[in-house]
Amino acid sequence: MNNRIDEIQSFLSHQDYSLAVRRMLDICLDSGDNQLLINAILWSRLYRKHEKENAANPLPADFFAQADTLLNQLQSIYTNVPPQQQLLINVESISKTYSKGNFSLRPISLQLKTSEVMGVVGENGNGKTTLLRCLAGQLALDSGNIAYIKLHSPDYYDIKHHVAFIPQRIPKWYGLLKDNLHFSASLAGIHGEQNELMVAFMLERLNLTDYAHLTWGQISSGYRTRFELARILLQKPSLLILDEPLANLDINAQQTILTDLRYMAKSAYHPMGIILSSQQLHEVEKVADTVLLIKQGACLFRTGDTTETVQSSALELETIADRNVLVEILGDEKVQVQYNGGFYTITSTEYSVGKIITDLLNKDVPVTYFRDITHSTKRYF
Amino acid sequence: MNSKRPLVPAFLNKFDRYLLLHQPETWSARTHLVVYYGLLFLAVLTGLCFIVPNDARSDTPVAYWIGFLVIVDIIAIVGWLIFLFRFNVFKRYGNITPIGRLRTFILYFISIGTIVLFAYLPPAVESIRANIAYGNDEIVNDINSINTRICQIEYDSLQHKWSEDTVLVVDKKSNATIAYEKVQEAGINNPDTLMAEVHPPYHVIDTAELAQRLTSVDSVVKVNDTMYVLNECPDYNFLKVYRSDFTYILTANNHPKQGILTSQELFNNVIRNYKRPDFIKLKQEMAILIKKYDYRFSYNNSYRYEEGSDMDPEISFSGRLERRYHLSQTRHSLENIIERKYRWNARNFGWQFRLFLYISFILTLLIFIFRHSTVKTFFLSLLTAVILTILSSITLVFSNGHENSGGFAWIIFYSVLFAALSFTVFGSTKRNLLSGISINLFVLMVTFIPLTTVCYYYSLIRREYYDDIVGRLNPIDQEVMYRNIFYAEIAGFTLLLILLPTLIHKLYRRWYSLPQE
Repeated sequence: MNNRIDEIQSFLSHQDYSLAVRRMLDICLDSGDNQLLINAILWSRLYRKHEKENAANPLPADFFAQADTLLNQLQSIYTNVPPQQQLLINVESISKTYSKGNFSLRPISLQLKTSEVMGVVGENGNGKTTLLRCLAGQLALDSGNIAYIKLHSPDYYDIKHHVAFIPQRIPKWYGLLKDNLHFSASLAGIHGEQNELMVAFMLERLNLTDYAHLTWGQISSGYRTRFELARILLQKPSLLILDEPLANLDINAQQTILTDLRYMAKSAYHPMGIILSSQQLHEVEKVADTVLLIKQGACLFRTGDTTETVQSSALELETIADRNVLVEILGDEKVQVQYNGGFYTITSTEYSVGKIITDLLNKDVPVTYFRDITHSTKRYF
Repeated sequence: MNSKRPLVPAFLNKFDRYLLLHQPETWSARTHLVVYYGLLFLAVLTGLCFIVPNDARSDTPVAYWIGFLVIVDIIAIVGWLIFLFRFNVFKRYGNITPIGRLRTFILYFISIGTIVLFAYLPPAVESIRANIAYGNDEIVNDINSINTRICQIEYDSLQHKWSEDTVLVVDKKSNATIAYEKVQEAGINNPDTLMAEVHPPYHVIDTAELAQRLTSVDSVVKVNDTMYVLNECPDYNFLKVYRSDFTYILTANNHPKQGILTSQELFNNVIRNYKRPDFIKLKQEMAILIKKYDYRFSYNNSYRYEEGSDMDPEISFSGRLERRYHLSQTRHSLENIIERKYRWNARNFGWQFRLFLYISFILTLLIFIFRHSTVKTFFLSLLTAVILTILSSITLVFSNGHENSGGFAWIIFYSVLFAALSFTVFGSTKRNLLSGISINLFVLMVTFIPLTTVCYYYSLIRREYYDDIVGRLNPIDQEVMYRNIFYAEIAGFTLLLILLPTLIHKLYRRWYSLPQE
């Protein structure tokens, strides 16, 4: 059985058509069959057109017929062999101090493999962007070393060719958006019909086809982020570094972009490593294999580092109940309750999160929101 | 594909698309569009220049055209730059090849050259129109005809006798002068003195002056080994054209067939064997010729003279002729025609081509540097160049007359200095402003290193020659010097073309991609 094909069939049967279309495009790209990819693009356009013009009505039968055809073709040629992971970047104790200013990035080490997503979180001004720019080869290091494993004796031009960096403030594009995408693909050595195909794929994949004929000034900041992502992906970087890519996106778009990034990282066509910084801790934690918490220039915590978190459970809770009520129910000596004005953060070395929430609900405490942050970076904020 | 581009044919849109998908760097240079629009503009401009009234006899309006077209050039270059700066393969760290650097530079040069060419078109069309209206031989024949007819009509009033100048030639380097002077003082009968009495008055000249005089006199009678009678024909060239271009053309080997008649030739043709002509017919022919070159200039171009001067018609025969035959006006018309006709002769073409070449080249270099540098570094490089020029100029004030050689020495020094500083980029781990400025200025100067070196050499030679008060050194052979300067120019361009895909490519690639502080 092929898991990814089953996944698409599942999406279709549960009417998650948008997801199904995106996954179909991904899997057709991975198949390496251009004709199949063209058919998938046409199928996606059919879906977009229906959504745009006739969303209230059910999808036409032709849509499902084409989906079946595509899936059948994929069944025969697609082998669900996950790409082999390779070490992409090995960072050893890098540090950076700006000559002007008093900020220092203290020694940080990390490793990233292809198909992996790494999140970097932290408060503003704590060194996230500095770390990312160091990794992208944009800032000179004071100490430490970065090894780009896939490149043999690279100069910085090679490094910057293979490492794409999307800054928080995306530089303005000039000319037609579509021309920019063709240009970027061409830069990466994708020429002729393949160039046309890959740009059409990327526009369809990120749902940008309707905006391709516009210019930078005619699209919103959210679409700018998506176009920049499309442009960078067309350049086929080995390592993609994004600084606050979610800043300009709405909640749905954030979720879509993050899951898309995760799928793209694991693409068989062009597997890559992704490092992104964000303030959206929970969203990032959902898709990232590793999350680094940067505080005052140092790596305070990284997910997966269980020795730090097994000591105590942590819970984020929103309720109208008073702090005293919570302490009374849970016991003053068993838990610590902190309030930041919006949420309570409850930590305990004795109780599990499940027990804490059960006790509160049994005492009819009106809980409107809770989240287990035992293994989350959130507990360090 | 951008289908909104006006006046672009389908094939060019297809070509543009092809370049976008296959040759991003060539596409981003937009040279194909610049050349297309440039040719389109040149075609329209050519038509306009042919339609606009432009009498070859009138004062040329080409300066206004050039002024207008320089503004058009600036607008066109700015327009091109707006499109050029949209896409940059190098700054996007795209796939670039060393040969790609060279190709890019050439594409920029073609684009700039096409735009700069606009300003050359009106003068060229003006020349074509003047050449169509007036043939080369026609001009010469008309000048000869006018002078000949004036001689025929004014025969009775003209001076017919040639001037005589008796000279005694001595070799001042030998003792002959002293001996001669002694003889003169002593009043001893001397054959020379006797001859001088036959051909009075005489004066003494040396052999060098004789050689110089012989080039200008019309006839020489050698009385003996030391005494000559130099004869000069009266001036019958009443209509003279003072255009160096014309003189140059007339002295060229095969063009035109006949030259301007000299006074001597006019004397031989008309005065020596004078036959009284049909005056009525002659004056009619003269009137036709005068009318042919009669142009109503926008200002009062009637014959002007300074009262009491040699050309005052009240007291001067020449002045009367000027006024009678409208010679001043005719001369002015002829000069305008000649200026138009011979604007592109071999002598002028050299500097005109250089002007075109260097304007296009310098602009190309600046754009190339800008495309490979950061905005800050680029403008700081220009500022550095200006400051160094000012400081170097100040030092030249104290150079005690060695301004030229000093200036060239500074340029060579800066070239070497910036080359050396540029190389530090290979050992650097950070993008450094100083090395960036050095690379930019080195690229800007490298073409001129051979030329500057040659000029420096000749400035030293020249200085040495001027300082040589005993006359030990020979003057500089101008022809050899200009040939060497030409070779140096070729060498400079060749050097740049060699360095672009090799050293300059590596310097910029290394510098621009280095991490920043």
